[in-house]
Amino acid sequence: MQIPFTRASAGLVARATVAAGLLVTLVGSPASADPFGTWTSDTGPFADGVGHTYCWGSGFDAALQDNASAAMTNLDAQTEMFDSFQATCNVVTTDIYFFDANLPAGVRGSTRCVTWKTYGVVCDSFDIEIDPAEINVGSDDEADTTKTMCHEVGHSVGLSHLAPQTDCMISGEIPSTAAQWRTYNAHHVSHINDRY
Amino acid sequence: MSRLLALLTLCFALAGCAAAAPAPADVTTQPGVADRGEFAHLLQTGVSYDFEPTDSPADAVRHADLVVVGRVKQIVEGRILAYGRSNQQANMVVQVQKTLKGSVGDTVYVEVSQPSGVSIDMLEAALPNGRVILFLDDRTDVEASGEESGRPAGSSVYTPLVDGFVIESGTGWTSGLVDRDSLKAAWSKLATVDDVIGATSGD
Repeated sequence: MQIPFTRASAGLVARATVAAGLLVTLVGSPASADPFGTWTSDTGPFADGVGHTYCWGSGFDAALQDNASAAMTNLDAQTEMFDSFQATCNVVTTDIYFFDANLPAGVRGSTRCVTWKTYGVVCDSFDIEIDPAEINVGSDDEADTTKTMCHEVGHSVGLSHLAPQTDCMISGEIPSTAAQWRTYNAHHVSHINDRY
Repeated sequence: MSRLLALLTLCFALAGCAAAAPAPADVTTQPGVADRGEFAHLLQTGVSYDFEPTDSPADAVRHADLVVVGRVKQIVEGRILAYGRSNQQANMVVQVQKTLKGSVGDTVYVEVSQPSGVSIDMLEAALPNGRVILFLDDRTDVEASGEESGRPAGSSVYTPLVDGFVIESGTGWTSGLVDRDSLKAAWSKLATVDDVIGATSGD
């Protein structure tokens, strides 16, 4: 059905546009505003599906396992993706191996695609490497560790560092222990749910 | 009122469509790839970081063990780090033109993560023509196999800070390990490699 375009309907369009804009502002700016799943170190590639399985790589510190589990559980709770822990790592079925690492100065964590499903676009299996020595340099180390886990898990599904920097995808130490820094904002949840 | 609701629904649907736009499958068409340059593009393939950004080039100097300006002459297979799976490194052989911090001879060996699917030949074919500025962390003592692969026995090996790898590109510069958009403002406002060199001496 076509709606005749009159001065009255123009006013309605203007009001509706403002209302829609307000809604978008409230839930997060359009997800197309920043890179997602592009071939850059900011974003990481896409994961290979809605299910995100994980395991503890050789020697992964038991003290870090709760933080990693919290990040995976959060992905499951906040988005339409689901997590699944595998007690035994499997090169074919495990999407993320978590490891301790001695990373370069200033690097708290890294995500590396180890096996591509589609080169440069979709990754079949990632290593997430965490360096507690680089994380435990300021305050709030426990929350900071979970933030970095959340950040790296975010890269493993394609999220970037870029705006809006109001969640765990910010770089570096968390501004406070508020839960927002260990979770994804609505903008990033929108990216994830659009894709998976 | 019903017309208003219909229009609101339409506008929300349009907003949702904007949010749902998927990334193009052809990664070579992604915005920023041309600006980033082929070498940085390859180094960033499927490798991402949570890092503590430095405030400025002068701050990066404070965090680095060695800072040099030079040219990448060659790239060769490096060692395999002990953590993670298949953590293969590639070594850049860098001819040093100027040392801004620390002490080194005319060649420095700089390792970077060699991304899965990216060969030494691919990196070698994409070597940057311009100068590089490297803010380096000494990684000689990190546990690895193939300990001295890609460098002379007894020499040190370094890796760049995530935001400490500047590659001259045309009259400007690009960032080797992370997009320039992720650097702090004091970095991104610098237009040329010489501007970055100038900014290493103080805030």
